[in-house]
Amino acid sequence: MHNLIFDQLSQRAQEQGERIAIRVDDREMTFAQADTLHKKIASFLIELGTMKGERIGLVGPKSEAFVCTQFGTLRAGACYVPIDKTFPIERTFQIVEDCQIRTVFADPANIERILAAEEKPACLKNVVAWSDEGEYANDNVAIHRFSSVERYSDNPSPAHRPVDTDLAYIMYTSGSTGKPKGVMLSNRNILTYVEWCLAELGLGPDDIMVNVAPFTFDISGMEIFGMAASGAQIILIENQTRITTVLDAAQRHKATFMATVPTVIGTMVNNPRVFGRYDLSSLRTIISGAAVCPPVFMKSLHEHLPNATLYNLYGPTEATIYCLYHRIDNADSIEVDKPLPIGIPFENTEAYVVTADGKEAPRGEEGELILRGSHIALGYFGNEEKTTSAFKNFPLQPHLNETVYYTGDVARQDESGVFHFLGRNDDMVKSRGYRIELNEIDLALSMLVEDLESFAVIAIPDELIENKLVAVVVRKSESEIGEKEIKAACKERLPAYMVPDVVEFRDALPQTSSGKINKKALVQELSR
Amino acid sequence: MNSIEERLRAIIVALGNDIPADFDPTAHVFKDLGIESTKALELLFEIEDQFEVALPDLEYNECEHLNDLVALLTKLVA
Repeated sequence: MHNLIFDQLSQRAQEQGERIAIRVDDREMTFAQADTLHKKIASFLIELGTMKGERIGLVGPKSEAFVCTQFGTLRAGACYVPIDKTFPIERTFQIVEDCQIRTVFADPANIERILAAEEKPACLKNVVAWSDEGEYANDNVAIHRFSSVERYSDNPSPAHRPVDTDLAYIMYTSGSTGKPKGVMLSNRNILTYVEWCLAELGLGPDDIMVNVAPFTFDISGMEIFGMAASGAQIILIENQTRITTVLDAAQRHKATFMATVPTVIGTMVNNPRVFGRYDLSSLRTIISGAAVCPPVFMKSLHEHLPNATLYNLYGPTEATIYCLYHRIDNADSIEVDKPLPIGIPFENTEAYVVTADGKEAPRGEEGELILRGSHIALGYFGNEEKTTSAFKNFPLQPHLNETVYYTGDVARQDESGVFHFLGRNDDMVKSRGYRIELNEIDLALSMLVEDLESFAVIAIPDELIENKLVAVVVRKSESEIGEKEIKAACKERLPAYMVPDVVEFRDALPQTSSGKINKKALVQELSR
Repeated sequence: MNSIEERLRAIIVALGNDIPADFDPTAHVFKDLGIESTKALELLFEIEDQFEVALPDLEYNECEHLNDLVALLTKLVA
C-alpha cells in the first residue's frame, strides 16, 4: 500500500502533532488539527454519497479549511477541482458541467451567484458553505455548512481509500479551442513530485513556506503537498491581492522558502528598496517558475539575498507542477545576456528533445521537449481528442507502449545534458506565469459582434510579466465602444489574467498575402 | 497645500493607466482601477516618500481604496 500524501499528513501529525502546519493571517492550525479535520471531511463526503473518483469543486479564499478539504477529498477517494473564486459564473459552470461536479464547496459570493443563476448545471446537487454566514434556500441544490463537518467521524471508512494511480485533482488550464482543459493528476503524480522536493530542496519541519500562488495555480502544490511530506509550516494569505502582503508575511513569519513567478521577483529587484524595508534574510530557498525568468532578475536577487539558494524551475501542469530544475550554485557567474537554462530533469523523471520524425535530437539541436515518468498526468478530463494529441506513445522505445507528454515547447539539450527552453510551437503564451491560449480571448471578443468589425489578440513581450496581452480592434462604423467596455465584456467570460492589458483601435488590420490578419506585423509595430 | 486626498489621488492616477482624476474613492485600487497588484510596492514607496512617513505594513495591506488610504495617512500625519 502506497504512502499517499494524506497518509503523510497523518504521519506528520503523529510525529509533530502540536507544531503549526498552517498559518492564515492570525489563525493557526496544528498538524494534529489538520489531520483530524481532513479525516472528518472525508467522512462527511463519504456520507454525502461521494463515489470513488468523483470530482469535488472547491471555490473560495485560501484557508486552512480549503487545504484540509483538499486532503479530505483525496482520503475519501475523490478528486478535487479548484475553481477561481473570481471566475465569471459561466466559466465556473463550464467546469462544473465538464467535470459533472455534484458537490461544490463555496464562499458566500459564489453561493449567491450559483443559487441566483437561472440555469445551473443539472449535475450540481450540493453546495457546502465555507462560512456559517448567510441564509440560503434552493429547491434543487442542498445547502450544507462546513462547520457541520465537526460532527463526523475522524476515522473514515477505508473502503474508499484510493490507490496511487487514482485521480487526485484536476487543474484547469486555458484551451486553444476556447474551452479550458482539465488536466488530470493522480495520487502517484503527487508522490513523484514531493519525492523530489524532499530530496533536492531538503524541506523539513523547520521550514516555513510562504504560499504565493493561488490554489487554482498548480504551483501552489509545492507548499500544500510540501507541508504534508516534510512537516514544514505554510503561511497562507487569505485576501492576497498584492506583493506587499506576501513580503510582509515572509518577514513577519521568518519564511525560509518562497516559490513564485518571475513577475514577483522582477517587481522586487526593480524596487530594490524592498530589501531594506523587508527583512527577507530568513529565506534560504527561492524558486522562480511557471514562466521564463530573465537572468538579470536572478542575478540581482542573489546580490540582495546572497544566502538564498536560487532555482529556476520548469514544468507544465501535465507533468505535475515542475519537472526540470536549474539550481543556481554560483549566481555571480550568471550571464545576463543569456537565457537561464531550464536545467535537468528531476531524478525520478526523464526529458527528451525529439525531432518531427520522432527521433532524439542530437545535443545542441532543437526539437520538441517530451516528458516521461510517473509525474505525467493521466490526460485531459473528458477530452479524448486533446489527450491523444498531447499524450502519445514514447517514440524512442515504441515497443514499450508507454505514454509520454509532448509539451509543445521547443528546446535543446546542450553538451553537458542541460536543457534550454527556446519557445513554443503553437499560439500558447505565458503572462504573469499563467498559460493563455489567445484563441480563448478571441472567443470572448467574438461575442462583441455588434461593435467589432474585426480584431486580433497578440502577445507583446514584456520583461516583467513575460507577455502583455493586446487586443487590436476595428470598430463597426456605428459603434462607440471604448477600451473600458471591451475589457468589461472580456471580464464577463474570462479570468482576470486573460483580460487584454491594452486595447488598440485601428481603422483596419494589416493582412498577409493570403488575406489573413497579419499578427506578426502587429506584434512588430506594437513592440517598438 | 493640497489635501491628503488630493495628493493620494494624484499618486494613484500617476501609477495607473488612464485613471480619471475624479475616480470613485470607494473603488478598489487594484481590482477596480486596474492597477497591477505588483505596483503595490511602488504605491507604498511613493506614499512614504511624498508624505515622509513609514506606512505600517499590516495597516497598509488592509487598505483597499482611496478612502482607506486617506484615513491611514490622516492618522499618521496628525
